Amino acid sequence: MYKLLSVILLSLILTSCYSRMVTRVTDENLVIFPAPPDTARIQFLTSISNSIDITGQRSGFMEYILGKDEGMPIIKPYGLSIHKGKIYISDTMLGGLVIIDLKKHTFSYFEPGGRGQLKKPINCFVDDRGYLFVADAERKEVVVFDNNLKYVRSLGNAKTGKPTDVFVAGDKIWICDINAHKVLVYSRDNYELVNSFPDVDPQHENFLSSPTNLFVTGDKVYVSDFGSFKIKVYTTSGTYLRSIGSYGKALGQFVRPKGIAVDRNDNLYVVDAGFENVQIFNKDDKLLMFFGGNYEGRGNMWLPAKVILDYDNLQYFQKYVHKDFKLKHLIFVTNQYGPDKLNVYGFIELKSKK
Amino acid sequence: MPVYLTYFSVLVLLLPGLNRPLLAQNFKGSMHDFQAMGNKLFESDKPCLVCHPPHRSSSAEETLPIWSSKAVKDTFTVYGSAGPAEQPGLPLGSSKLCLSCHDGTLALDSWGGRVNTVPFLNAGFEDRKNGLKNDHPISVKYTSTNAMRTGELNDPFISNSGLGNTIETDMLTNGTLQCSSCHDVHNGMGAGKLLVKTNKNSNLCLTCHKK
Repeated sequence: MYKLLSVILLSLILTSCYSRMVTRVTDENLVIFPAPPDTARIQFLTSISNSIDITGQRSGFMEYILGKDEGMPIIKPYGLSIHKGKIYISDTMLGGLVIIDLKKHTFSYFEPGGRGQLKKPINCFVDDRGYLFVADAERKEVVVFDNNLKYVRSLGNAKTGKPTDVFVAGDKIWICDINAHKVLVYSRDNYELVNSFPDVDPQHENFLSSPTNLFVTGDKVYVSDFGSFKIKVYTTSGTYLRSIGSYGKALGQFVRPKGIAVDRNDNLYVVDAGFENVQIFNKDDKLLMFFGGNYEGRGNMWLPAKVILDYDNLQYFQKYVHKDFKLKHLIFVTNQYGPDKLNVYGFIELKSKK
Repeated sequence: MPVYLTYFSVLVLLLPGLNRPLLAQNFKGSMHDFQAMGNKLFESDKPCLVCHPPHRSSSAEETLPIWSSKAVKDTFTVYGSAGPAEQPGLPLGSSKLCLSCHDGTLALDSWGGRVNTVPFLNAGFEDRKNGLKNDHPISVKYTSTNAMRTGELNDPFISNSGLGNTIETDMLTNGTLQCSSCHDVHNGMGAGKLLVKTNKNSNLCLTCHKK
């Protein structure tokens, strides 16, 4: 009985002794894109780089007892996925994933052993069942875990392939493979390979030189082709439609295109690690705006890699939104280096004045 | 090879400041000559372009972003910024250019990365979870003061680099150690090694380190 009471007491002490600081957003510290006088579309909300950003710092008393909590860092993130209040970050230097539970305020490393061992997880994707798919460029396979993070199976041919990204949409699993120069399409039901594209020579404009990231909408597959400095668009059956961008430093061009995402208005977001920004194009491939920029402070980027959009977990970030703005969706961008490893932005619009 | 040619080669290699550019002419066929390698990683038929974008591309459309019509610039800065202040150990400048490809997808996950789960440098750099200490530091100032303070480094302003001049002249960029201090990406020493000089008997390490 005493044992039980002491356990309850200890848990109460431990859980009540963490404090989380939220910097109040003011007109002075607000970071918005584009800069005034253009209409603000994106607000930088916060960054997450260490477990303390999630769990909070120990209170003075607990710090006295246990010492200062140095926390656990996000080391070198590339891809991420968000599902039901949990952020999954593939960390190439950790050789595993960082899993952040926004609801429970927990931060943990996922470093599976045995058949599920990860070596260099580049990208990850969590589907609607909570299944986790990890594209591991050193293991050269996509590793599948169930919603309890138990190993299910691996996908791909480690002798010839090198998966860099994975996406689950409809009844298919889409993998971009940098060694095969293709998008590989697997059935979600039986994990059989059902399609692969493009099947053309390198001289052809359809060819994927170095596909590193992909995004699948209802009817299109967008592939970030690092090696041709373009985003190439195919139908879901693999017919080539068009490309976006070209090589160069002018607005709307790319030098190091990486992560991509498409919002509900068919706007395309493209990370460029050379410009250290994200450019947004409309469905007619016209440049709408860009945000981020070479790191000088909050809201800037440092060798960014991935962009993810989210419409389902707004409640965890409302506290960072300026009172005059309405949050429409979240934009997450990973930085491989620098003080801010995961930047969280909000796509916002001005509240109408009554 | 005729004897006079051998003498001539030795003479050229000994001329201060001339040997490094000559070695750097080995780009063709090197690890970074993507075209000659016959691989399919880059679409460009001009391999230099992969790392050296032109100042202005004629193919770029002269339009301003629709939502940012007040934007005044028409080109982006590539690998810019120095951070809010000194960010010791974080990649800056030309090292960012290296790491933008060496991110684990296309090329080795260099600096802060691993090969087959083994960190590149073991001794003294094992603390991978600290994020900055598992590799040789880059983007750090290497000054006479730093050398004096540790007592374990040669003075970059007076020590010979073995490349024709001092360490500061031949190996540092604005007094800063970058990836390019030790790596000649245009293939300086031997196919695949991409070093500025041979590291036989730790020769490259001992250029700066007093051991």
